[in-house]
Amino acid sequence: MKVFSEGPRSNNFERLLERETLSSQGSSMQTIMFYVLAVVALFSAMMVISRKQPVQSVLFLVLTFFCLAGLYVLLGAQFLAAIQIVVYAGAIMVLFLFVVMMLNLRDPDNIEGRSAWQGFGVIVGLGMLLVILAFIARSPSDTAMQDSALKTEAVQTAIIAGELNSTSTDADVENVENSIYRQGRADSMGGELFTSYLLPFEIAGVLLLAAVIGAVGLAKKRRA
Amino acid sequence: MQYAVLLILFPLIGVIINGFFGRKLPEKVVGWLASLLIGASFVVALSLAVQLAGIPSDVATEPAHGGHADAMHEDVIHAESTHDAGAVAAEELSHDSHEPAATEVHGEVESHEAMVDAHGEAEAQDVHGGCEGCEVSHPSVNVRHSRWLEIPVFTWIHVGDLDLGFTILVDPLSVVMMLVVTGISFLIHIYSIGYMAGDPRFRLFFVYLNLFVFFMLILVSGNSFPVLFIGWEGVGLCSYLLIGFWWGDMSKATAGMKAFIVNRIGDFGMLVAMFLLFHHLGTLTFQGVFEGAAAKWGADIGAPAITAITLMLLMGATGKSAQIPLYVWLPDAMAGPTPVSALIHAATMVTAGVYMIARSSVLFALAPAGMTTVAVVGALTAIFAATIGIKQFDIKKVLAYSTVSQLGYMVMACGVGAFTAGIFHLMTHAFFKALLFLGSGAVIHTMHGALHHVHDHHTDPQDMRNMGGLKKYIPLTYWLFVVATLAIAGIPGFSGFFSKDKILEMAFMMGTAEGLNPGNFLPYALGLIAAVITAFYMFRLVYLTFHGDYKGPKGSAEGLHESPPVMTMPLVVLAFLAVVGGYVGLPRVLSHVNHFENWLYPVFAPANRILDVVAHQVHAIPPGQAFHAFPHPEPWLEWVLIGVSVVAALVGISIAFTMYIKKGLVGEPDEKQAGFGKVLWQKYYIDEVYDALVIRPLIGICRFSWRIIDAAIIDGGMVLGTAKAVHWVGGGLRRVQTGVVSNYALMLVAGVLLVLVLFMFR
Amino acid sequence: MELTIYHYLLLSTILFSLGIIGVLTRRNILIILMSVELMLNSANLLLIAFSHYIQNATGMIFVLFTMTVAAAEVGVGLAIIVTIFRNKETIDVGKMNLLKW
Repeated sequence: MKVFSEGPRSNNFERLLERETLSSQGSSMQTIMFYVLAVVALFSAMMVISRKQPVQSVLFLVLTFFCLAGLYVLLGAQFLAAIQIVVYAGAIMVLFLFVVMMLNLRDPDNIEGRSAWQGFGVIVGLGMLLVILAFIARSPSDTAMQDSALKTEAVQTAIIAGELNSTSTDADVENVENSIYRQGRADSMGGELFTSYLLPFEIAGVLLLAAVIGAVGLAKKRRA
Repeated sequence: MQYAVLLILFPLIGVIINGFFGRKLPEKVVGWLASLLIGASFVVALSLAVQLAGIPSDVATEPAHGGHADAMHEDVIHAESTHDAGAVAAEELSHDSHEPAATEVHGEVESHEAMVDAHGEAEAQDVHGGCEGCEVSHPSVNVRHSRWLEIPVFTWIHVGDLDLGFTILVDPLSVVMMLVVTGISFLIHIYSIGYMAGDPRFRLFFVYLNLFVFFMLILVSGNSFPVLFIGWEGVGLCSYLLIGFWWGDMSKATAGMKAFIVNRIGDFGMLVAMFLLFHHLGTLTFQGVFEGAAAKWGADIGAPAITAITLMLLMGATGKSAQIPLYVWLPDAMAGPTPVSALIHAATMVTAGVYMIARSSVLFALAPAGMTTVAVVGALTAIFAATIGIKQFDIKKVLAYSTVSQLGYMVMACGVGAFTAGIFHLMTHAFFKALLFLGSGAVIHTMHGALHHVHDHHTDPQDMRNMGGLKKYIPLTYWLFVVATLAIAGIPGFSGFFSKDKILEMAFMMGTAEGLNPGNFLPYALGLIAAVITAFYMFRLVYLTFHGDYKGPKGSAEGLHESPPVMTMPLVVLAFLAVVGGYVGLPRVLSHVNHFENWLYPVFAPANRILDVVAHQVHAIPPGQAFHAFPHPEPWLEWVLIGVSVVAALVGISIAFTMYIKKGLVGEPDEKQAGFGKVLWQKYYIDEVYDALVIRPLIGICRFSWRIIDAAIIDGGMVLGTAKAVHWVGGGLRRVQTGVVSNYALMLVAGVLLVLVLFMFR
Repeated sequence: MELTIYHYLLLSTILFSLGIIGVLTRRNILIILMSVELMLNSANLLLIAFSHYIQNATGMIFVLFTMTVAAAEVGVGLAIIVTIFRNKETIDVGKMNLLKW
């Protein structure tokens, strides 16, 4: 990297390398969080598909969604995490719960029975898992796909752009590093949504309207 | 000349009026309306003939006497081209390069060298700008002449290169046919008013008759093969309808079907011939075909293509004109009412084949092998049918075989190149055979009345063994019948003599022209023997029917009475024609001008010219002296031939006289038939042979096709089998459609999985 | 060990497979619908993960739309289930075989 070999900038570069260890220390916390959330999410997902009582399934699904929201935060998608909790865990799952309770299924055993195709379904599902994993294993590994690499790249870009120089403080550098989490924030999301994706956004609104009308039309009791 | 359309239109008007609006009309009105419309057609035909005769012919006819060879030669070649030895030789030489085999025909090396010389000479002259009478010519022909009038009626088919008009052709040949058809039809229509009186389907009979005349006129007046074919099929249909007119009798209905089916075999030949013509020449009008054929095959006479075409046309003719091997339908066709037998199955429709061969004379001239086949088929038919006629007892069956035999004469005439003689015999035969049939109809009518008188419904009114001695009961019919018999037997002075003698003379001359090989005289010999037999069986018929003692049931003789005038009057007219009809074509030794020959001369001039060339090539006869282009024996030879013919007729008559008058023989009953007589009586068992060789195997094949191929393999195996297989597979596969969404989802995911796996190992 | 895209890939794959198994094995139509939600969320997770590691916001926007569609789907789906239950007194897909052969 020729850019960094000369004068004060090489000094900066040294400092950045130092910071890399710092950030990797910070990322170990993230890793722990990931594993905890992932394990809980998988466990609750398994509970979702294995409970006999739909109410239990709904509650475990809510738990899964919470874990996923946590993972979204780890990925810097704070806004989406909030939406996940408000819309999914809040609105959608309440709707589920409402329906489950309304239908008032007293004899859950009666509606669930075993048959050959259920076993076959497990086999197909596991087969799908294996195949996708095989695809992942075959794909070339890319070390750049981690937070520390992203931060380093952001810092480098900032140096080239002249936003960071020898006078920059650690806080400035940290600021630049954290910019990798910026795009998931509500403000940047909103900016995108109301500029580049305005038309899809509006159409999504129309879709929701249609869904509301459809749902009401379907569920309404018809006069016999 | 536009009024020529009326010729065809009048019968059609009759069909429409009687067919659609005639239900309420009384019998007499229907009958006379139909008859008079045909009469009107006859008047139109007559006027066409007069008008045509008024046009001077631009094809010069030969001088009356002597030196005809050279003079005729000049005329025929007619300023277009001249055949000198050099030209012909050069022509031959040009073939030799293609066909080495042809050299053998022309013989020795010497002549070959001469040809080379001649060729060189001709070429040299050509190079020098040519001179009169020395250009190399194929026998290219110009079919049109001043008496060839085409009257377009409407455009019929206009598609691609094919442009066919429905056009009436008025030329000497078609006019002769029109006159014969309308004239005889008119007389027979009138006769039918009497004969069919009281029949519950009287009206329908006249509708069919008119329809027949309509189609027959289309046949003879069409200017192209397809139009001819319309008429050809139309008369076939009417023939079928009229043979089976009394379809209540199963055997009559069967006879109709037999006629129809046998004729289809011939029609197949006609169709194939037309396809071949269109394939090779791209046109189907007579003019186009003949001129095209002469241009295409004129330099290549006897080419396989033209030979195939002529053989196919002959096949069509054998069907329609009842020649070997397809003659079998005609005797059975006598199941129809007698006027039908007279009109359709003796005088007009059955001559369509002869007309067609004569019309296609140019094509036949181009195919010597085809000509020979025609001659042989005709001669064999003539004698074959005549021998069967000896032992028949049904009066109409005798006449039927006689018709087949006479048609054989006509075909033979065409085969030996005597087209004019063939048409001449066609005309005279129409007169005397119609008279014979109508006379036999009168006899049957009389017998029927007599049997009816004693309420006998078992005795066959047509069987000659039940007749005898009718002479004194119905003298008028007897004398008219005798006139016709004399005509057909070939007694000088009657029409049949002139035409038959002409044919025999031509056949003899063909024999001499091709060298004195006995095989070449086969047609003549067969014709002569057939003439003897004809005279014999005709007089046998007369003797058995009219002479001796009446052999009908007791008491029925009082019921014998002459037919009404409406029936006898046409007979008188026909008898008159049967006598004088021959005088339009007197032999050369008796008259210095043969009107009939001159009249038809332009029609057959192109064919004769080609035959002339063929004679050079095949028989090495000096140009202009070929027999075909008007073979004329020396006067002494002609007298001898006439004498031989007369003797033949007299021999036949005297044998009949000896057997049936002197010895007083009568026909032996069916169960006493024995020996060769039985073979003849059973018509050589030809029907049985056809039954065994053709019909039974065909039925066997059909049965096999039906039971095994159709019912078992196609229906059972393929159709039902497919259905069963689909049913079975579907029955299994429908289990997949459980109606449970999860199962569909499972299949869907399994499918995605499969695709992914395939994708992975790609 | 630092987090990489592979962690998220693995997690979402397993989640997705669990969703598939749920859809394919359960007969309670409500739980099937929940399993579908599970699959949708696994896809969302992956979209966000890629969006983050490629530093491109499009993925996140897409997740927003996915959620919208999911909400609509659940709304209509539950309405259909209610209607079916009202008519057939069951939410067992095994018994909803009206379109059987």
